[in-house]
Amino acid sequence: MGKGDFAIIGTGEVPHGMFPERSEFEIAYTVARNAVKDAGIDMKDVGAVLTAAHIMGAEYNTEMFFGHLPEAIGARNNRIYATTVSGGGSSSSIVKTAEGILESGEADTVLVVHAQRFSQFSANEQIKYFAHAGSSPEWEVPYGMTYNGLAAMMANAYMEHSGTTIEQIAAVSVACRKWACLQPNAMFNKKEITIEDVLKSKMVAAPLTALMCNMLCDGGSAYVMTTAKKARQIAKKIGVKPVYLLGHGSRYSHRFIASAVPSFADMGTMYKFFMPAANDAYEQAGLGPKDMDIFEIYGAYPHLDLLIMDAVGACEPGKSGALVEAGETSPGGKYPTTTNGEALSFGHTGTGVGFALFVESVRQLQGKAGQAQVPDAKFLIFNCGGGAYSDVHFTILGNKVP
Amino acid sequence: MDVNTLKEKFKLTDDDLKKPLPVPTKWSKPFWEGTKQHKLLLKTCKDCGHIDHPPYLYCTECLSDNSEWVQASGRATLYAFAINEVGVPFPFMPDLPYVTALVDLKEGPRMLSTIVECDLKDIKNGMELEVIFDDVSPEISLPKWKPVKK
Repeated sequence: MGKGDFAIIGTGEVPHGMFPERSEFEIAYTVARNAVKDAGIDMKDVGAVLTAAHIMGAEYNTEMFFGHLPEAIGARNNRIYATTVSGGGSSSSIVKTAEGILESGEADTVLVVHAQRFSQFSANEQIKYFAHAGSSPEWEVPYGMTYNGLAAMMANAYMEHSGTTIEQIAAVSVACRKWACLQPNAMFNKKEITIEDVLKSKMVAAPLTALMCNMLCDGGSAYVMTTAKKARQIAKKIGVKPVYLLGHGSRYSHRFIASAVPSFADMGTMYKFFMPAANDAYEQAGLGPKDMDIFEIYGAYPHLDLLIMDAVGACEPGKSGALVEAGETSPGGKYPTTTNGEALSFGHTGTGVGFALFVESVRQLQGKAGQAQVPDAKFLIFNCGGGAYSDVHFTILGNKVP
Repeated sequence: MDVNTLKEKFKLTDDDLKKPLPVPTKWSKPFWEGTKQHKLLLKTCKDCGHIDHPPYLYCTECLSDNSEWVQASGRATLYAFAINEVGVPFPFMPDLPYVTALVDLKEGPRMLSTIVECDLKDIKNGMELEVIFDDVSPEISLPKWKPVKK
């Protein structure tokens, strides 16, 4: 496997938000068809179907484990199906699974599908599930630990040690909302918000307010991945623009936040944990931060976006808050960042935040991002991670091979 | 929110409001037996000296089974904290607002816990802490941390 050997040729997505009448199966079928049509191929060309896990609700997952999807979408020449799960990092591990399948030669066209419907669960069920998901039943849950509480402790430490202000953290929520307002499928795309709105919203886990916390919702996305050779053939025939995978970098730290590796444990300089992974991806691609037209960062919380931005080279470590506050990451800024508004404004679909951001990355490089389009975008860095900030992944994508 | 309002608002049973307690594993049992006697024990490798907290089946540094439980000083400093205000599990709602904290033990390991016997406005990163034990059930005592009195 080498640089630019594989490419994405089409994407599909549905509106994100609360749509209880739209089942997760309907979402999966819809995004699958959208992606195949967008790629300009026939469903019968698909040789492998990969699915991501549905958070809560075992029926969808069980059906996927038993091979439901290829039949239901008409992929009757399919040979391989699998579910690839690593929480919020799934969108990275599934790309690597797809690369392995393509490299094996067993299939030359892989369809990747994510679907999530949180609205089928009551508020009580969601509170109960997320009280425990991500926190250790033995070492954390007995203290009333939650995801928001975890993120809030990290915000507390990051501000203390990096000098980042709460206004700068709030500015990330503002920038994400600006991008989401340009996205027809975003959960929150009607009205922009101000730093004051963010700071004045309800306190959830000090120092984090409600508008600094992500919102769970229903949604899904899909894409078609193939070999670079086949992508170029299809491009010649029907004019789709292939988006090439140019480099990856990953690191794992911990299961429990208290057990983080040393480079992560000092939370003011956590970029020391993220940076080697980003650098691996840059190095493989033969590109650097200056070549990036967009930074697609999935932190799920605004200060996590800053922590990761500190590592990708758009600015000096610790200065990303100032960059965001100056509007440089917003639409029209010098460093367009997270162009769909991610979990904070596009909506949090469980393992799907990374899939939605990945699909947005492809759209940007294909020139199909509509109002959110960054003019003439050629290369970008995509990021995701899962667990209790357990791991981090970066991928460089480009619409040409450098 | 008091317990009765909470029960009515969310239609909860007594079971829904029961606080989740640790279920000790084969390898963590000595830790919880220690806290029951109000001792903070750390699983320490006799071959390489590495401390594993949380403890695991074998030393995660050198994979040795040769370990001992060493009593910690019970002193720590506060690394970071959050004040939880809303959106917590039901059993913890009557406690709001409450603190979750990352506490750095003198012996090295970091622990997720809570700060008690301290006004919320007086909690500061870097403050010196000492352990106390909260006997939450006949079987389980949770280590918690309070400021060291100067």
